[in-house]
Amino acid sequence: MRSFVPPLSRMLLWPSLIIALSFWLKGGGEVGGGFPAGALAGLAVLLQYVVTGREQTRRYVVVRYAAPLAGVGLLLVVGTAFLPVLAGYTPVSLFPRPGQPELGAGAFHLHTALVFEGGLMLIVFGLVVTVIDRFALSTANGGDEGP
Amino acid sequence: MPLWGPLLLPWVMACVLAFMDGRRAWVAWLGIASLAATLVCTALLLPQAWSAHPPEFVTGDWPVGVGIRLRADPLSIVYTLVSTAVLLGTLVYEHVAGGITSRSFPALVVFLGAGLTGVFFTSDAFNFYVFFELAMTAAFALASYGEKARNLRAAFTFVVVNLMGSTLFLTAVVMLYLTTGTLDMQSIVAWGQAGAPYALDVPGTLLLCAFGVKLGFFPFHFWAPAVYRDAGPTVAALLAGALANIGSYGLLRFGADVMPQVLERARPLLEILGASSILYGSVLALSRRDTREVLAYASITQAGLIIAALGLGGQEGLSAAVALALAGSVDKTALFLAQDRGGERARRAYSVAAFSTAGVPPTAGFWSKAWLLRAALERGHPWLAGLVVMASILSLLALFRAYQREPWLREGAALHRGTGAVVFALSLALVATGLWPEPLLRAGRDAIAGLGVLP
Amino acid sequence: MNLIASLVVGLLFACGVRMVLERELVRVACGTVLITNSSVLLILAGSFAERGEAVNVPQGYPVTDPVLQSLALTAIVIGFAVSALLLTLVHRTQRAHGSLRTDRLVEAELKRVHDTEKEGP
Repeated sequence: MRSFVPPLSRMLLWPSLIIALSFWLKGGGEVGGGFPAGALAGLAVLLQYVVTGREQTRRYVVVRYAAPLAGVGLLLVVGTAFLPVLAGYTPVSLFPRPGQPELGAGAFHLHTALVFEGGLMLIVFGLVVTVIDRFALSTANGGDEGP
Repeated sequence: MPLWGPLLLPWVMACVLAFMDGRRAWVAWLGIASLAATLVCTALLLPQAWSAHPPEFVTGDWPVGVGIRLRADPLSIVYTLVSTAVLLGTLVYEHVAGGITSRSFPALVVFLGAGLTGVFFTSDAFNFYVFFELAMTAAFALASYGEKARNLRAAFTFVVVNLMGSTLFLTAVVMLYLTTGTLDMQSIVAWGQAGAPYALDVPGTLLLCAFGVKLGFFPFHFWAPAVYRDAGPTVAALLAGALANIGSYGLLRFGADVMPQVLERARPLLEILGASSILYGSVLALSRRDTREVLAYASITQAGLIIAALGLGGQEGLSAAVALALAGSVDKTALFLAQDRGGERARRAYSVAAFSTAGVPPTAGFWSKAWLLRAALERGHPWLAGLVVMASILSLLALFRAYQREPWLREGAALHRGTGAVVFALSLALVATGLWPEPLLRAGRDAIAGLGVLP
Repeated sequence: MNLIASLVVGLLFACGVRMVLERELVRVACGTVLITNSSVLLILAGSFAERGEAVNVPQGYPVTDPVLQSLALTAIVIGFAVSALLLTLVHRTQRAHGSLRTDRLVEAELKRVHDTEKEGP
């Protein structure tokens, strides 16, 4: 009898990633944010590693390029934090400024904090997946850990 | 130069370097260039920091308490300058000494620089923790550099012990927040002046333990000899020269600036800890055969001197603590790097750094020790002054016994130009400061003048 | 609530310290993870009491202190990174020594010190 776990876990992957994305997008005013989003996405990938093994999971592009993704996230965070200084604002300024009209509809608003949170999400996700991958790869030659 | 310059630069460069292969020469030079640029940016902040209003900003222009305040007073600036210079010297040394063997080494050193700059510039207790952990994580990854079995053992000890220290620090920060309702250091100062006198004693004690683990003075020293002996020489220089600065800076910042009333009550305890640490370090340094262990115990003595100076208190004692920490940081880096490889210049550098550690005249160490002696005598602690003189003699003996025992150090087995130049530059800086001590003394005095010290 | 939380924090911390003193390196690593998590629980326990204010919440609605929540989140992420690093170290030590018991490592260490002393003058 075939176990129902592998197909179920494969079915769970995309919904968890979508929930993670929604966590990221509604982080501004409600429960959510970049950290939980990244952690949830990382956990979804961890489930894949446990159930289907390293080879199967690394078919996904996102998993293969997790470490550069964390680096891109770090650059996004540093970029959103320090780009406002080019325009003469203090670092980590929020755009649109408080009081200015916001873009977006309903509970969803566009602002630079969203980019910042997205960077955080990428960092956490990349870090989690890289670490899981390092452990899955038990026979590798001595690698060096990321930042 | 705006304040965010030295904060932004190492961050961006470390992110960029993380993508590259650090074993290539040009990547190493890029890392060296970014640390040098950070040093220049920090140096450009000097005139502003010494003005009446040190540069500061609150992130995102939020009110203080919502946004994080970053501030560069003289204490932050002098610590950043010395730590970045030590990192720069060590990275240059590792590169010219035969190449970097790990892909991530330059990126990790620059990350360590970013963490240290953040720790020294922040004015928010929790942000201090975040930058502190960034620096620690980079140091954890660096500690295993070298990939030999003994390097790994050193790294494991280092990570476990320092993780405990970090947990204590986090607990202390949370207690500070729960007690005072704010994380901004200047608001905590205001709360402490108005609030209950004994309320901050528990977080203060936890902070003493946490920074004690980083600095490595007597009851918290146990990890230092094993780690400094088994980690690679460059890594030992980084840990002893740059990372231990977090300990002394944290004690000065949280003790003298944020919670002066707690420091005032802790003074007898600090004096006893400092004295026992001086005694313990200098006696055990004599009994060790391995050069690196001798250096490790010498650094415990050094930490004890800083703690004793803090315990003496007052303007004089605290200024002496700053001067001791700065001179000691350069001393230890020069010693750890010079004992690694032989050569004429390395030998000279070792002697100069040993003289400076012991406090023999034309060196920077002499002035900081002389200041400590003066503070001890002025405050009426002749026994402490006697102990300092005894420790100086003992560490001079121990360091030169180690010099005699190392045959290659005595005979100059392998002359290496580049490495010799780095340690030579460090020792020249020590002698130059010894001949013209005004900058060091002024740094110590003015760094303390900006803090909220009780009389 | 505070009593339960403090008991659990104490228990976690005590178990963590007990495990750090073990001989197996994996247990030492697990002990440090427990200690880190006890401090996270301590942070959360601080926010149980009704204090602090959040944006966008109607009056009289029970809220916890958002600052402490964010501190806990940051501490969790940092703790995760550090424990991952620690486990990597354990893994590499296992590969280098073929053993995870500290007493074996100490034996190797003593042997090395002994060898250095023999080389001495």
